[in-house]
Amino acid sequence: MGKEAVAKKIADIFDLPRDLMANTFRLTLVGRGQLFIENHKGIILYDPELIRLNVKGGEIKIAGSQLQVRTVYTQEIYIEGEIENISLEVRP
Amino acid sequence: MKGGRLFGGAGSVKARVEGIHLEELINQASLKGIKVWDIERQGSAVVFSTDYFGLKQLRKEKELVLEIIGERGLLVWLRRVWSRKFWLAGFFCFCFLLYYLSGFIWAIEVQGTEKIDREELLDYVGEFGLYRWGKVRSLELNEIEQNLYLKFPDIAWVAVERSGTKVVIRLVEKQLNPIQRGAVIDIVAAYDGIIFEMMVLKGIAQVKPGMTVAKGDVLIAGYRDGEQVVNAAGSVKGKVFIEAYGEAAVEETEQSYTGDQRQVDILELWGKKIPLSRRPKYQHYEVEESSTAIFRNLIVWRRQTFSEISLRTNRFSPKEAEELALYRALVAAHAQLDPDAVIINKEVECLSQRSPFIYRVFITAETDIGSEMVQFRGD
Repeated sequence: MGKEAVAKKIADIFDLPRDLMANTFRLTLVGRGQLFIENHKGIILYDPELIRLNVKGGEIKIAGSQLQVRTVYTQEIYIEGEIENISLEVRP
Repeated sequence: MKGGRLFGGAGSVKARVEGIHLEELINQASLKGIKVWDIERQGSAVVFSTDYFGLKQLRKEKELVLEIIGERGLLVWLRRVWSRKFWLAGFFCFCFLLYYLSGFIWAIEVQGTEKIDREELLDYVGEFGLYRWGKVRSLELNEIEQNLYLKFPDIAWVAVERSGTKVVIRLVEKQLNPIQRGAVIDIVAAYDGIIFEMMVLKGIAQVKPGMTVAKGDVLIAGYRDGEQVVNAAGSVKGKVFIEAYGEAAVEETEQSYTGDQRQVDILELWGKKIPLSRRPKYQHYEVEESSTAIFRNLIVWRRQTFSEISLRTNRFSPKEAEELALYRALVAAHAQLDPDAVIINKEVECLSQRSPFIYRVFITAETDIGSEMVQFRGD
């Protein structure tokens, strides 16, 4: 059993949020206009119509209009704009 | 969080950087834990805001050409201030002066003095350092309070309080009764009458047996002998004449309150009364009115309190009514007399022999007519 699988198991046993134990990404969408992404692994593309973010095990694509990265913290990003679509592309 | 302005409170810079992709800048910032906000692309350059720590970190990247567009926040202000040495010196001088002056008493207020001389009190507290422009930090307020009690026996309660540079002495003086204050006591006539016996123990007799006196006349006067107070003492007996009336009818209406009360508020605008609630439907009532002027006498708020009363009719036979009238007259006459008085003559006269019956009682009695009274003459 890998380290990540153990963390998942512990999180399940103690009913803890997985993002805490497995250091996985977490998205918080506030309406259509604000998106917080925690535990990202860097930005791949920044365009007003499309933002691509590297996350653990894949990539998140945020499509919309007038998209803007308002603030960047360590492992945390805050995006504003007219969000139309959020998709997760899992990498094998 | 918007625009990261919260971070910019201490100091933030808006910078323009060439030769870097926006994504690269974000990734680098994220990797190195630099807070970056308000990121925009301007042609080939990237404009962003960061704090001073972030700027320092980014400057370490040698290939980055950073151009500062604007600065804001506390650190920026402090740097500007630091560059103005005279202004800074003036500011510190002002602060020091303010601190220095706050160490002195600017004002002393004394509240509650009536008999106690304010100046004497201020002179006394001055001995403990409580004077204008004295040092505020060396004051021992409890010690001052305790000493004030000792120095001024007329003080019932005192509090010395400091509020910044102002000291307030609040005190309450003892309320002494006239005898404690050293007032002189006279013996005065409690009734109109004729004096027939008199014994003076102390004081100066102002009347003699056989004299007619009116209520309030001084019979024996007290006096001052230098610092010594001589209060009048003695006994003055006199013949007094008491007159009283009593009345009763065969049918009398007695009124009593039922306990039910209602309030009616009335708004009076330029003399026009506008009732704001309905009047109670009492058959018999009494009204008390209170008013509050809201704007001069043009707008007045009136409150009427209606108290319901019940009327009861008492019926008596003519004989009963006559007896009641006499009884009332006697009660009224005796109420005016001292309980130790010796009644030497009592005359009863019926003034009306039909309802309403009216009786007059005339009593002649011997009694002690002197009563003590504080002499205000020359006090």
